[in-house]
Amino acid sequence: MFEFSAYVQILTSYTILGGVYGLTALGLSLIWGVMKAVNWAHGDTLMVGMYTAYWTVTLLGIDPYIAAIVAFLLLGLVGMGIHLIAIEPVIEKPGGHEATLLTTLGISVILESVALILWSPNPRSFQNVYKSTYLQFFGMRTSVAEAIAFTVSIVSIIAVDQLLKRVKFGKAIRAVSQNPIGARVVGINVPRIRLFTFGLGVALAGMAGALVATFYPNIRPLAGYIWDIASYVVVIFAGLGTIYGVIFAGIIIGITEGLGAIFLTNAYRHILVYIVFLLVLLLRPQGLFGKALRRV
Amino acid sequence: MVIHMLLELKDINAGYGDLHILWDVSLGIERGEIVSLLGSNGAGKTTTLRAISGLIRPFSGSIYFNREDITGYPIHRRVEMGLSLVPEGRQLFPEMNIVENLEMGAYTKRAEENFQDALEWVFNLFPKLKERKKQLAGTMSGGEQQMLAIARGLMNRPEILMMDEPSMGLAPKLVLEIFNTIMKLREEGVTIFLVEQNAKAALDISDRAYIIETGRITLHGPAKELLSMDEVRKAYLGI
Repeated sequence: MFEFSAYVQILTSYTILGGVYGLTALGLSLIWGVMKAVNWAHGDTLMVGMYTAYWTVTLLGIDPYIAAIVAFLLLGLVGMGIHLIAIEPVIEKPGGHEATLLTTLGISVILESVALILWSPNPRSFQNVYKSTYLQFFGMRTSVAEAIAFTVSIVSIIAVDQLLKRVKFGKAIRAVSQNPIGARVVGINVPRIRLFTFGLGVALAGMAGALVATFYPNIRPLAGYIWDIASYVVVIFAGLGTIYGVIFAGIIIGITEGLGAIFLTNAYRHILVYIVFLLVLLLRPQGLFGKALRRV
Repeated sequence: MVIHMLLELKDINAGYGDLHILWDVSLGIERGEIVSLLGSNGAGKTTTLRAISGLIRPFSGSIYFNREDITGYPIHRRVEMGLSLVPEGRQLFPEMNIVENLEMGAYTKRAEENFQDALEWVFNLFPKLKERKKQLAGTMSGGEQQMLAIARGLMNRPEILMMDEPSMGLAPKLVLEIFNTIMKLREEGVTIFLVEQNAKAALDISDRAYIIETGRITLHGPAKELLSMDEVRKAYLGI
């Protein structure tokens, strides 16, 4: 049996992991929760972000956190490209929001196939000083890389939340999502707002991928899936349309996973996550922080 | 044709896909006027407004605003020029509060600078909105939502305010209140293009009116003249 301090250590690690889930879910929350387009390629854009970090760090020798900025910018452009190909042509058609499920599935297949051809299915990782340096506090320890990812997660989620609440561009994003016709009537350039929203969502996924890559030993073309599913769970758990809820939902899921690891053994830890997830869906279908739907 | 009115439509044909709704619609609105477009359900009133505002592109014909041909302009550019629409169904932002909806109404550059003045102006016109600044639009009653929709349109400081059936679904007392507000707006120099099924109320406050039947303008003239014409009285006023 574990010592008590071992439990605390496990829960600390999983709390940090949960914070990172929040980060990987943030872009999805913006695209799916706020913009209401399904991005099935979300995990794959995370994966591209991981490889962006891998290659810029190993080939150019730059700091992984500069690589994360590179991933943010690069994936922002990729995201706008995906938007123009897969989202904008269908989103205003009848059933358009559902259609994005299929068009982005196509993008997902393309990204994974190209990654397999270019980089092989072998898992990769890269050495960096942040991964091998540890922080000690109250007898617990965590790598600097994970602590930074956790911190960036919280800061980014607050930043995006405030963007939507206080900045004109962010309010326009909400207006477009709540009523596209109303948005056009007040003079918002709706296609442009959607382009930037999707671009920002994918940029955040790219940055999340790059930050995960600093400590994740399994960078490979299909790596997106694990984080993808976690992201979807976090977004639904938080409630569609809430941004700040993502950080709490991520941490709750992380801790639940940790409790699962303690009580159900490591291999079955996800069972507890999905039990809690199903309970939330049953008892509070709008999510922990979501509001019930309202229409004008 | 000499273009001299604030807004002019010339031979507009418009519709949706294969559905041809407007046939050679021509009309004009002078600065400072209240002009109504009247007609029964499905006659093409809303389609006319959609074509003017830019929500749809006409198949053919031209639209002039301040003598500029705006037929090909996207809607956000038209709003920026001072063409505001209070659309059918109000189209508010349900999860935003009153002030946020009004902020969105002032989204354009032309409106941004004078936001505080405009806010004070619409709060004077609709004191009820001022009392509940933080209420979410989705939780308001139909009449309050209509007032908010008009106020949101006014935040753009429009040169012309187009309204699509502002009296629809409202209690008679509220209809009266809305029409009183429209008259007040004209006194303050806002040009109004009003689309209505409530022909009597609309003709009472209008300078001129157009009557549209199955997508064609069949009658137009000063509102007082139309009010006294037998064919109008029978078809639209039920007298």
